[in-house]
Amino acid sequence: MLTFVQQLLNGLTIGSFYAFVALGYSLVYAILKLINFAHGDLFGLGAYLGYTVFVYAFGVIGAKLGLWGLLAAGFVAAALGTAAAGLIIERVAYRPIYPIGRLPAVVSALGMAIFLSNFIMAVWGPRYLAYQESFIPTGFWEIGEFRIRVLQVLILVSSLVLLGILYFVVEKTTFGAAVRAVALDRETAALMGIDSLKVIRFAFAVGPALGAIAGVFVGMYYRQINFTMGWVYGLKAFTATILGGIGNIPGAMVGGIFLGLLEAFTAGYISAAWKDVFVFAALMLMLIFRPTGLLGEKVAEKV
Amino acid sequence: MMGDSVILETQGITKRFRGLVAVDRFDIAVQERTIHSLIGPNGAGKTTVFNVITGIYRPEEGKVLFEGQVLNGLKPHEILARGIARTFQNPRLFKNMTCLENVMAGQHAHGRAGFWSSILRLPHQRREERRIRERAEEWLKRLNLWHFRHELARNIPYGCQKLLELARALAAQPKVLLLDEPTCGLNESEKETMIQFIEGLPKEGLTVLLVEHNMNVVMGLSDLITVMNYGKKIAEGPPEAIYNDPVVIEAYLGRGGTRVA
Amino acid sequence: MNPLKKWRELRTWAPLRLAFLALFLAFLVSFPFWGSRYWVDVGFYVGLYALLGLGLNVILGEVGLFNLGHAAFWAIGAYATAILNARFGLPTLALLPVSALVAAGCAWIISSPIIHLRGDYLCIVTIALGEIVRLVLINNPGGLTGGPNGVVGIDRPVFLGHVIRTPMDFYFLVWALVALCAFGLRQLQRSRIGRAWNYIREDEIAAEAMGVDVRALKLLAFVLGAALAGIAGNIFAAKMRMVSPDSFTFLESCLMFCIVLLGGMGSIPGTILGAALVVLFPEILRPVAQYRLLFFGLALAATMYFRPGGLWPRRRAVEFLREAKS
Repeated sequence: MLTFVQQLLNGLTIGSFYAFVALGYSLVYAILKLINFAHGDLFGLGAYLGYTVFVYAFGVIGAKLGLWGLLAAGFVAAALGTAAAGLIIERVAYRPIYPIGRLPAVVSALGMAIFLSNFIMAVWGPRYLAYQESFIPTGFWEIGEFRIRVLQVLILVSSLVLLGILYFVVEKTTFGAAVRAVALDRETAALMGIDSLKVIRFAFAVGPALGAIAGVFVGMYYRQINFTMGWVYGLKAFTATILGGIGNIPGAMVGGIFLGLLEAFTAGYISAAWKDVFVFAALMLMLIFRPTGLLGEKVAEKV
Repeated sequence: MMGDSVILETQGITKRFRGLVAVDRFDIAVQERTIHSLIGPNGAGKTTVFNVITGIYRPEEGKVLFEGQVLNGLKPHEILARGIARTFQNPRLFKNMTCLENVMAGQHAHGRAGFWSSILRLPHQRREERRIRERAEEWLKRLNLWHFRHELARNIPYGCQKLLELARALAAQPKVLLLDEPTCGLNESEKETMIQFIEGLPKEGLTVLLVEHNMNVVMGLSDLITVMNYGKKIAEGPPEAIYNDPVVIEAYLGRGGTRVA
Repeated sequence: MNPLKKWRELRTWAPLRLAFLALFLAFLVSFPFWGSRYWVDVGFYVGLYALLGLGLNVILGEVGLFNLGHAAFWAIGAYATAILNARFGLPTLALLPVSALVAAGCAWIISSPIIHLRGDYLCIVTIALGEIVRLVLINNPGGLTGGPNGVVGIDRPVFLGHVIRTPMDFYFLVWALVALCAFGLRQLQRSRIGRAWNYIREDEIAAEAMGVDVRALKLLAFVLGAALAGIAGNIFAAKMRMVSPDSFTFLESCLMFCIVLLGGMGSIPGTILGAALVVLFPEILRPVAQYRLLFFGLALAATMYFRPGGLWPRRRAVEFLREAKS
C-alpha cells in the first residue's frame, strides 16, 4: 500500500511535467502540423534560466523577497525568457521555411533542437548543475505513514490550474475560437479575417512558457539539471501528446498523467531499467491500434 | 449499339462516415461497352461510390461485382489489376515526376520484373522496361501530350494535367474506366478534345462510368444515366427520360422548381 | 547564353559527366596514398555515413517514409557482428552479409505492423523504435549485449588472407561497398520498382489506384534500407573492435535524416555529398569543437531555407533528356 501510494504520487508528479511539455507540442502541431523538435530543448532552457535567476537573485534580493517571492521571480523570468526564445525560433527558423514544405521544416526543427541543446551546453557547461535546497520548498505533510511533499502538491495544483486556464482560453474566448479556426484550416481562417500569425505566435509563446515552468519544477524535484534533459523529457512528452491525442488540450493532460503513472508503476512493480521500454511500447501500440489517441476521434481520410 | 451484358455492378452498397450515410444501399449495373453516367447534386455520394468500387473505402454493406466476381476486400492495386482504372476529380498526378513517368505508372501492374532482375538489369527486365515505355509513349502521342513528355507533371497546364491523368489510367489497359469529372476546370477547346476522346472509348472495347456535373456533356455522351441524391438512387434511364424526370428536377432545383429550357 | 543555363545544358552532355565521374573516382582511389592517416580515417567515416545515408535514402528519399530511427538498424547490424564474432567466434567479414540479413529481418518484423502509418505518425514510431532498441541493448537481455559497456574484442576482418587493419584498408573496404550499393540503387531507380517507390512518395492513394502494391513496396524499402545499415554496422563493429549503445543515439538517426535532406531526396550523389558534409563539418570546425554542433544546427536550418530541395537534387527531366540522347 505504501509503495502504491508513493508510486501514485510520483506518477502524478512526473505526469504533470509531461503534460506541461506536451501542451507545447500539441499547440504547435495543431496549428502548423509541425513537430517542433526544439520544444524539448526550450523546456531545458527554461530549467537553466530558472536556475540562473535563483542562483544570482538569491544573494541580491532573496532576503527581501523571501522564498516564495524568489520562486515567483524565477518562474516568471524562466517563462518569459523561454517564450522569447520560442518566438525567435519561430521567426528565424520556421516562418521562412514552413511555406516551402514539411520536410524542410522538420529538418529545420531538428537543426534548432541540436542548436539549442548545444547552446545550453556552451553557456552553462556540460556538467549537471544542482538546484540548491535553499530555493526549493522542502516542507511536507505526514498523514499516517504517508509523506506528501509541498512541492508535489504545488506541481500538481499549478499544472491543473494552468492547463485549466489554457483550456478556458482556447475553448471559451473569441481568441480561442480564432486559434481553433486556424488549427482547423489556416487558409479559410485567413479568408475570414483571422490573423493566423497572431495565433502562431501565441502557440510559440505559451507552449515554451509552460515548458519552462515544467523545467524549473523538474529542477526542483530532482535537484539537478543537465543539457540533455530537453531531449529526454521532450521525447516522453511528445509520447504523451500522441497518447492523449495530438492537438487536444485535455488530451495532453490525460496523456501526460497516463504516461507518468505507467512509468511510475512499471518502475515500482516491474523494473526501473525497463520502464522506458514499456513507455515506448505503449506509444507504438497506441499508434498501431488507435492513432488518434485516447481522447481523439477516429477520422477517415478524405480522398 | 448497346452491349447486353453487365460488366460492373454494385449491389446494395452502403458507406457511412461517423453516422453520416454517404452511400445508402446503392445499386448500379454498368453494361459492357457503354458510357454510363452517374450524376447528382454536390455531396450526393458519387465520388464515394467510385472510392468503394476501387477499394479505397470498404463498404459496410453490399457487394461490388466485376465480371461476375466479388471485389469486396480486394485492395485498390488488386482491383486495378483486374481491369478497373480511374481518374480523380482533382488530378492526383505524381507531380515531381515527368509526364512520361506518370503514364508509365499505368503499366506498373503489367510488369513482372522483381528486385534482383531490376538491380542486375536482366534481359527480360530490359525488354519489359522497353515495352512499358513504348506503351506509355503511345498514349502520350494519342492524347497530344508528346511534347510534354520530359516535363514535370506539375509544370504543365491544368487541362493537360487532366488529359495526362486520363492517359495514365488508359495505359493500365483497363476494361472499365471510372472518370471523375473529366471536363471540370477545362476551357471550351480542351473540353471538346476530352469529350471526343471519351466518346470513342466504347468502340475500342472500353466501358466508361462517368461522374460529371456538366449536363450538356452528360446528355451528349451517356447511353444510360443514374441519378443519385443523399446516397440513394433516385432515377435511372436514357438521357431523354432523365432530362424530363420531375424527381431529378426536384433534386437539382428543389421543390417546386421548374426547368428553364 | 548565361553561364548558369550553359552549365545546365552541359550537365546533359555525357562526356563531361563521365569525365567528372572519372575525376571523382580518381580522387577517391588515390586519396589514401597522399592523404594523412587522420584524413584517411575521416574519409572512412564519410564512406560509412554515405552507406547509412544511402540506406535511409531508399526509405526516406525514394518512398518518402519519415524514418527517424534508422540508427536502430545500424545498431542491430553492429551487434549481430559483435555478438556472433566475440561470443561465437564467427569470422567478422563473413558476418557482413549475416548482419545485413539480421537487420533486414528485424526491419521486416518491426515495420510490418507500422508500415501503414503516415507521415508524422510513422516518424514518431520510428523514433520510439530507435529508443527501444538502444534501451534493450543497455539492459543487456540474457547477458548478450553487455549492457552499457557493450561488446568488446571483435576480430579484425580478414580478406583473402589479408588482415584489414589500417585506416587505408577500411577506407577501401567501405568505399568499395558504397560504390557497389550506389550502382545497385541506380539500377533500381531506373526500374519499375524505383518508379513505384517514387509514385508512393508523390501520392500514395494515386499510386495504389494505379496498381502499385504500396504495402509490399514500402516493406521492401524498409528491408533494403535496413540491410544497408546492417552492412554499415558490420564495418563499424570491425573498425572499432567494440560496440556500445552510446554509438546509436537519436542524434545519429537525426544526422542520417539530415544527410538525405541536405543532399536531396532520392539523389544518390546528393546523399554521398550530404554524408561528406555531415562528417566534414565537425572536422573543419575542430578549432571551436565545443560549438560545432551549435553551428551545425544553424547550418541545417539555413540550408533548408536556401536549398529546400537539397544541395544536389535528382533532376528527372535532365535524366530523361540524357537517356533520349544516348
